[in-house]
Amino acid sequence: MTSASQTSDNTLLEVQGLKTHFFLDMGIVRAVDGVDFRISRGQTLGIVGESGCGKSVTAQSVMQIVPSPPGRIIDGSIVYFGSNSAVEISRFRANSREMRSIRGKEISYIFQEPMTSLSPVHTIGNQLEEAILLHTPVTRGEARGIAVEALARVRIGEPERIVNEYVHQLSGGMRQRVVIAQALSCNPQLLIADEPTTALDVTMQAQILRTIQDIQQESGMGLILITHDMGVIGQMADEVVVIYRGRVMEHGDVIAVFDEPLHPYTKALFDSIPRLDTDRPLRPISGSVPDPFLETTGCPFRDRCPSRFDACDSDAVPALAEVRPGHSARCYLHSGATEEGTE
Amino acid sequence: MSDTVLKIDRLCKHFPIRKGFLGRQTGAVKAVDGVDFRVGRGEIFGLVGESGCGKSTIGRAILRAFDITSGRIIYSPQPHVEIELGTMNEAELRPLRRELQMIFQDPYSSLNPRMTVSEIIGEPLRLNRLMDGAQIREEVSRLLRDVGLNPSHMNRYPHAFSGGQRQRIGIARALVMKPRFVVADEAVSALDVSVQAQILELLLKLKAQYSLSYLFISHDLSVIKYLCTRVGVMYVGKLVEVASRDALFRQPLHPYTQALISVVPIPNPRQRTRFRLLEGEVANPAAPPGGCYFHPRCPFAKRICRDTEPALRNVAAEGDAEHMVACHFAGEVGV
Repeated sequence: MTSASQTSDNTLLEVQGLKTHFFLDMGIVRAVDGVDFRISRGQTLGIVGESGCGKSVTAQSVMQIVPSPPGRIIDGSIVYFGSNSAVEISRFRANSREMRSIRGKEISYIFQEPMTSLSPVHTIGNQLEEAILLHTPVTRGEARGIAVEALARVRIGEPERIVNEYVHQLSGGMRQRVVIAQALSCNPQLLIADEPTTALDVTMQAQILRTIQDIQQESGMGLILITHDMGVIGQMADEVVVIYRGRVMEHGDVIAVFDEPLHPYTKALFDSIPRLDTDRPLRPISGSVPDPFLETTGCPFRDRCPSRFDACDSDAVPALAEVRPGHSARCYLHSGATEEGTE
Repeated sequence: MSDTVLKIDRLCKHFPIRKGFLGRQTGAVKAVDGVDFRVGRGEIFGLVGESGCGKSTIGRAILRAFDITSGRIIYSPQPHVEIELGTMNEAELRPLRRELQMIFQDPYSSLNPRMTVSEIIGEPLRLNRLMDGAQIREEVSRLLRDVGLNPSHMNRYPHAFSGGQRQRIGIARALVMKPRFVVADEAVSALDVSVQAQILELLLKLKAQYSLSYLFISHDLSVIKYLCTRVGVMYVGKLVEVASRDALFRQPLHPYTQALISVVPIPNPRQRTRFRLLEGEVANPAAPPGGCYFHPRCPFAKRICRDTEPALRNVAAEGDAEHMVACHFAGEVGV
């Protein structure tokens, strides 16, 4: 457990040994099963992985919005380093006063599908003002002003008109902008964007990513960007975490990970994406992500791994080991270390 | 390309907008508005564009999922045989339907959850009384092997399969009638990256094995570039550029194509570009702007672009493969 006294440098959020499991009639889904990362102010951390790998549940755990029951954070710590003190979020109950003062104010969340976070029966203005009034001591009139400003910041034309409109009157790209405006309206320290552009066309994606970049530059907020798109990670992230079956498989500086991926899963992901900048043939990863209910031992990727060798037959899960300074991988190719308690 | 399997000629599909109690038509959404292209035998022709540009409507028009507004759809099952699908009625179409098939985007909603895999794939054979039960089972096993699934799983229901496996079932279903032409509409868009590559390889393998031609519809330029031999770029119901894959990606000539390529994020942190922006939103197909539909968003637009609609014309040098562009300044502007 991290002691909250380590308010070293610029750290904004530190997650250690996070485990979030879902207890269902059909069995236990270990959606997040040992995730560690750290993010500094102004930094962009990319979390990449395929569907069902646990990247969204990781982010939901930080926000304490994991549907519960059946989900529960069963282990690990999430420490948020606010403006003057460090708080251990993982100790707060989801609906506690402390958590509500952090959620939406200090840490904001953008969902993939904008309609998840927008109400069809309230005007855009009312929805934005609600969050502003909740977190800042302003009048309704002032809140309206802040809402209009927030819309202008995400480059929505004619924000004074848009505040009086309803969601169905807006296009998909505009809706996602409104969601971002809402998330940014209270000037959060940390923004978690969960596949913010996956449902959008590339042209709209570029506008949204650029808007997020600009705002980050001017406000210095931290950004956790969750995506399956290596292109988006390559353009946006400072650091990358690659997740597979609830565990971090590789973690490092974006240049290091893209130049020299250590884990066979990361390499395989790169080899399986068609891209505009090269003409090499694709090498698909064999098989597919296993059934989440399936209980496995040993390395979670070994059944699909092209580099599997004798050591991988071990029932112990390989540990996430630092292979080079600041660049670690969970793979027996690089380290024989195993994770405690999995033998 | 002398041997053409499908030719689209001035194809239009307008959806009426009706208002009021009497349902009077007050306008039309011009989803597809005068599109021409040809698909060569054995070719994979890609259609790319933003959502709402009309690319799926073209795919569905070819399969005659609805009546077209005007234009011609000429299908050529073998050289020197031409069949006009556009004006046929349902009875005339029925015997041809097996030759033109579709692979859908969503492998979750396109398979009936109450039918086993064997029933789903074998249904067309049964309905057409082409085979008896034992033969159908044999045929289904063969197809499942061809698409990389275990034939012993044929009595399972779709829910027992992953997204990638379901897409393989959808592909087997499209192939059971031995089609010549397959429309794949966003066939890999819903899949995880590791599975997407498997399905792309499978589509290539099956094309050779079954002598297929594809119309591959996608919004993903990287996938289009990987798979297709020729590509058409659509914007608001019209083709703005048609060229071979190599020419289109090496030297895109329409400002819209250039913009579309420039905003694809490159998976290389050493090549970071501030995202070049395409301002504004896609034009409304019910009330498109005058002149070139792209002019309100085009950084190079001049007076003529507002007044005169550019025709799709071939700008390739003599002897080179066709490179069609609908821009007054093709080759003079952009990158």
